[in-house]
Amino acid sequence: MTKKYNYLLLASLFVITCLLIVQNNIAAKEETSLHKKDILKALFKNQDVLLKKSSHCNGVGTEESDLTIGDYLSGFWAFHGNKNGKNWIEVEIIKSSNSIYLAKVLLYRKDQEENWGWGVSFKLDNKTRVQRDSFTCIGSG
Amino acid sequence: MTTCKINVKQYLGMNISSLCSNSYHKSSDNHCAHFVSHVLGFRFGFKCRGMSGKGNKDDSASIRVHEVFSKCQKVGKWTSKSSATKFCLAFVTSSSNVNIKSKVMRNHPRKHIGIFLNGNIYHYSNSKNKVVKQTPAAYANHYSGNDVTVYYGTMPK
Repeated sequence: MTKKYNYLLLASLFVITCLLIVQNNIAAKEETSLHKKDILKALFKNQDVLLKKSSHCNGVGTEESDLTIGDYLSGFWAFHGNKNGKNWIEVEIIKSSNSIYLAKVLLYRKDQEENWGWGVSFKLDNKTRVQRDSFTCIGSG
Repeated sequence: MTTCKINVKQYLGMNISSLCSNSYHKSSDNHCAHFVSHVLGFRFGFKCRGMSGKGNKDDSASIRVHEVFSKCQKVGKWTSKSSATKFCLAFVTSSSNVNIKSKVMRNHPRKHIGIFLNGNIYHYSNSKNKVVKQTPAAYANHYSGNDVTVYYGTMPK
């Protein structure tokens, strides 16, 4: 009886382990399902999100008249028109919870003492549906 | 008048990684306000932990120049600063970015902050990736341009 029980226990553990491996593989695939282009497209679609409804966005615009995430990012992106120094963007995707991802998009510029990175983070699901109330303005300087 | 109880000189030559325990150290980011805020204990607005997502909440410091500017008790052009002031904040940017009356500095990318103490300005050079010391006259040349102006700010409460 005890032997039978042990076999049953081992078999159950084996099945549970297999299920966990399969689940982890699915999760790993989910992590790579969004590409940087998807993140940028989702950001463009939501450029009208208001700065005043987003976190840490008070006064981040390069102009006082900036009202939206699009206004704010355009102000900084315009500096990439300068060919001196180095301009680049960084796009990062981090899994936040089940099927929800945290995306970070930062515009960078480095030219001697002009050295900055400004952008946004926001949450979206694996179908690129953005949580419009999740926008945070990130950056320093 | 506020006096400085911190030995600011001890930070000369240091990289931001020696000052920030919240892993916000990337050299591609701007650390001028970050340096000032860790040294002087500014903990308002958006902070370094918000960028790195790591570290101690209690040791998270402000990282935005315009947020520090608007928290100063008093701001003005450097040329109007009392000669008796030996300790204050020193900002440099184009004059078109600043409204002294409303204590607002636009979030223009070419703006910088340092700590003025006994005749010198201690600030984080983002090109050298370390804390440096300059006279106010040299600091005024931080950016090129005819309207680049230095401003003082008294310590936020």
